Amino acid sequence: MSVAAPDALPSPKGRPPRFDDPVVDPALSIASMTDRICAIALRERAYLWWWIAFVPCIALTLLLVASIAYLFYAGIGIWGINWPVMWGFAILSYVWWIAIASGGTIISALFFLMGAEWRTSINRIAESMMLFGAAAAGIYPILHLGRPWFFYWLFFYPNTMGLWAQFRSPLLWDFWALVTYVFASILFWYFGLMPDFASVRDRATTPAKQRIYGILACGFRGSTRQWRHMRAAYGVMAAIMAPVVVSIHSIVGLDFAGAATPGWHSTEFPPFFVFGALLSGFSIVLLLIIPLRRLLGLEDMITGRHLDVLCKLLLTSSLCVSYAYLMDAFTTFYGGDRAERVMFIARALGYYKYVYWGTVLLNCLLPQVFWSRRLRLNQPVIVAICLSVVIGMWLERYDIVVTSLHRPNLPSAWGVYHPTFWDWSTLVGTVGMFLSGILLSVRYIPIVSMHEMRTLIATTQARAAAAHAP
Amino acid sequence: MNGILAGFDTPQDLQRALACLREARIEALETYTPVPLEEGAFGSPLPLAMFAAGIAGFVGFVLLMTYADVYAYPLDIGGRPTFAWPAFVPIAFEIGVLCAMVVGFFGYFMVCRMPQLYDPVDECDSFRRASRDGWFVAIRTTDPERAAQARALVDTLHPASVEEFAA
Repeated sequence: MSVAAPDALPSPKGRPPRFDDPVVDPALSIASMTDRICAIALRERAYLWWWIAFVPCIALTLLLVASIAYLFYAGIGIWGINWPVMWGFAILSYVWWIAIASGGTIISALFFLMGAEWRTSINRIAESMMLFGAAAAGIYPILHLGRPWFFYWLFFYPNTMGLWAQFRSPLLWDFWALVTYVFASILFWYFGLMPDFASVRDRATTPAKQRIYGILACGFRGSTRQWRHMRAAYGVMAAIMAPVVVSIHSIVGLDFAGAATPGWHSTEFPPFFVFGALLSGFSIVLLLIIPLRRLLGLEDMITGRHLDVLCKLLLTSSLCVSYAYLMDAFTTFYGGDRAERVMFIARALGYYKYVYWGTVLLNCLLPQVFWSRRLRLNQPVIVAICLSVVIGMWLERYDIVVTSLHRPNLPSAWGVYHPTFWDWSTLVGTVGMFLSGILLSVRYIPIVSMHEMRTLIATTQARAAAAHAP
Repeated sequence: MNGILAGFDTPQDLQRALACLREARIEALETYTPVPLEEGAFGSPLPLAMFAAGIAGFVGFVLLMTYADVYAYPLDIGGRPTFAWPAFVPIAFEIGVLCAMVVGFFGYFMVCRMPQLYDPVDECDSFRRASRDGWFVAIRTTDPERAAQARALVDTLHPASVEEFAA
């Protein structure tokens, strides 16, 4: 194949991704990049595809509202949970969503600390994912409370009975971890957005948009002082967010490990859950960037290099998860606890065997196709694998929550669980809410972190200039 | 009070101009750039403040949980110790993180005196480029003579744009 002259290269739009793509197209300048990203946020009318995607998502969000309203009216008896399976969709979907959110934070914070250049153009999408994933997760624990109007009992507050919260309980750790995570995520997300809101404010043409983005930018102008403190504080925030995300998902794991239920009572759970967070995070971020890069023409910022790296990371986390499944089986039979063994055999061969083997197939076996470099760049294959991983992660949580509970220590208490319509409607409702949030952020918020992209473009250009210097 | 806003196309031009202006002892310079300038990019009280807030949150919450579970409302759960300090670590860590994040976020607004929605420099048309691809330096002075001197010096530096504003 002959090498085309740089100016003869086809426009980035529609060019197939290649593994040796640069992190950012050299043709991109800081001015053209800023203009394009601002233009997306400032479009007068939304794209047609945006409406086609948004309307069903809003409909599902309304379904969520209706489901919650009926739940508050009728109580959690409308769900399929009953003795012995008292934790159903609410808990497993909570864990699933919090994993998706955590994956976004890992890309945004951990890879910032590692100085990974590919993280720059996708970090805003990852942060939106973290925000709306955390929002979707955050409503479940409240719904799951039998008496949601007493949710504030989780806080300690002055009361005439002299009661205090029980701080030694993992469930209370989880409450504080979630509160911290949601607040810290919002602060971290907004902090990195201020310079970009300033760029949009300065490009806005209508007074209304100038005012709204001006207020959102809080008067960020890129002065020496503003940049200096922002750099310092953002670095520390990222250094904080990375362990927080590990802590939140570990604590979710400890909710389970703290209980003496067969299949849960294991020190393996915290790291096992963090691996799951990585796997679902990488798959959702791929599912978001693949359509967005094409629909918004971001192929020169989100290149084949990004797909290649993310697929490799997805494969790595799939291997970590597979290791955790293997150890789960190993410790069960090595440990010699009869109830654990009975539960595990029921899990693998009993009523819920399709859930277990589905999990293994979707999370462990299918991602192995990413050993092939060609398939790591094949977008339909990536989408198919990522969708299956997202479903696989949900099945994994179903497996952990439901199959462990359906075989408790006492055989007389065995039973099965079936979700009801309201379980499903709440789940698809949160999916609709998550996607509505993502679509709104795509519409109104700079979808790429422009100030970090400008730094990246400046350093890559300086590096190229140094390489060409005599 | 007078202000002069000079814009440059590259960070190198701005750095050169800054050196000249400092040599001429023109003070009250403020740069506005689309990416952080390497010079003066470090040194901030925020990391230390965040660290202190984090430690304070951690220690404070350990004390509070100790008070609650040991003195105010001791609960015997299967004979386990009421002062179970390892069980206090997760919440104390989360609260420490929350304190550090809040101090970092709001501390940033304090040290930068934000939100400041209006600044006279916004009146300059060329200033829109500061958030895109323009490297700017603003000179603010009350002395008209000094302002004229600064303006003359700025003109010799071949800026891409010069504007005056009522600072």
